[in-house]
Amino acid sequence: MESNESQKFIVEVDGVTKEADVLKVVGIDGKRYVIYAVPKNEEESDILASEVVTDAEGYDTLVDIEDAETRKNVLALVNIMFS
Amino acid sequence: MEETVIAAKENLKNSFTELGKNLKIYATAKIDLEKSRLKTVGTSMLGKVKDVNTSISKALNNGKKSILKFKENVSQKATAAKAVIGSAKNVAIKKVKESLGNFGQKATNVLIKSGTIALEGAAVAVSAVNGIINFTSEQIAKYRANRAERIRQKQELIAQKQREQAARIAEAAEREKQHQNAVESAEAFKEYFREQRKEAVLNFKKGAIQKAKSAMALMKIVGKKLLNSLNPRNIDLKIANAFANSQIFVTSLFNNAIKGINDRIDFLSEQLAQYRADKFEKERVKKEKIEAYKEELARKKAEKAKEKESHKNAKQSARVLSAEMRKQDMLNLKASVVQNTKSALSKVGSMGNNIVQAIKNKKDALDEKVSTAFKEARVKTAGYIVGGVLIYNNVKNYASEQIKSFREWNSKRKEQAAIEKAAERERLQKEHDELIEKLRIERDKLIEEITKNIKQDPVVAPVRSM
Repeated sequence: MESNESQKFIVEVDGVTKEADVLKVVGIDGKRYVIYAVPKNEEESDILASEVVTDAEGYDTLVDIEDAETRKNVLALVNIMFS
Repeated sequence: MEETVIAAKENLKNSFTELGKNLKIYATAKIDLEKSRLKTVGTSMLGKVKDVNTSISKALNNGKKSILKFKENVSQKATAAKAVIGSAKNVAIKKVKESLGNFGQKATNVLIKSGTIALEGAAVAVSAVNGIINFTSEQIAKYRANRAERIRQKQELIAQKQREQAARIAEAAEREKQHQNAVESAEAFKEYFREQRKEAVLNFKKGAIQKAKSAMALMKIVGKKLLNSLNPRNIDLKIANAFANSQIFVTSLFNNAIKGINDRIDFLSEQLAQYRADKFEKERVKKEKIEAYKEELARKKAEKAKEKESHKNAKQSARVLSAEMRKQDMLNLKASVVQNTKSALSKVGSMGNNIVQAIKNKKDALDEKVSTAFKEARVKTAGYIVGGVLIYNNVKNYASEQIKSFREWNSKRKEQAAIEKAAERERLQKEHDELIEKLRIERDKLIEEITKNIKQDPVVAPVRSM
């Protein structure tokens, strides 16, 4: 596995720029989803998930998961990760 | 018979030998067959492992490429892209990151355990270790359903445990309550027995104090002070004094002892032995004196008891004597009364038949009177002695009445006698006077005759006067 440092990226959460830590990229039904953590405070972090979509230029972008069932599926995988 | 048995034994032995040979042949054939089968399986597994390794290598390469590309290109705003799944402790996240290497295997195992993944899917998932791990929504849905069921069961189990725990707590509370009641009862009993004991101790103390007082009084009497109060501050000095009194404590040691007040005091074993011997001797002398005093006390007590007994006997004797004397006095009085009565009767008798008759009449009257009085008073008389002897009171009253009557009668009789005597005297005087007068007349007559005769005869005889 790659080192953890190689799996970080910058995100803006509620107008604040933060460093996101990629936990895992998973595929569900042929779509890719990235599960990542954004620090909330010194002790806790929010666990977030976004769909990874490759744009026309071949770059990966993050798209919000609108489907509730998909969110539940991602949550199930997160539960497995943290179990 | 014996030959038959030997033959049977031989046959049995041969049968066992044949059976052993057959078993050996069967076992060899079975082992060869299993070896062959295992070899086939092993070859197949080696091929599969090779395929898996190939798949893993491919997946790793794809994952690396994907991640690198992702890392390089993902830099857009995530505000609209994020879907908050939940929150986790940073410590947990760190552990997850460290263990994500086997996430694929772990997820596969979880899904397999949930019965939601096929062998092919597992193989695909396992091949994606450290890369993108692919799942189907059906698999995850099954997993979620299973997980939800497990959670439900777990919650139910927790609820059941909570109910059981509550029941145990209630039971424990009940036991605790019973225990508390038992403890309270025990405490009450304890308190009761404590009070009883306290009372007993107090009584014992009172008794002990009384005994101590008696002992102290005893000691005072024998002139010895037995008890000396001791306390931690003066005990050393008292010990020293005790040694000094027993004359075995030299000055230097005494000084050392004084310095050692409230501190350590050293004594020689000879000193202690001497002190004990001296104390023992004192105790012996004291005991002897106490014994002597006790004996003296017992002797005095015995004397006193004897004296008391004697006094009691004397008192009893006096009481008996007194009663006897009173009885005797009574008898004497009765005898005296009887005698007096007899005497009175005798006197009465001596007064003549008239008097006797009068007394008898009076007596009868008095008897009647007394009898009537007794009847009216409903007093039982003890009877009276025929011939004038009555029981003391009756006789006394009777005699008193008799004497009184006699005195009255006698007084009247005397008066009558005096009257009669005076009348007799008067009569005699009258007769005398009359006789004198007669005589005078006669004399005068004679004188006249004589005078006449004298005149005729001058010689006249002298007349003697009366």
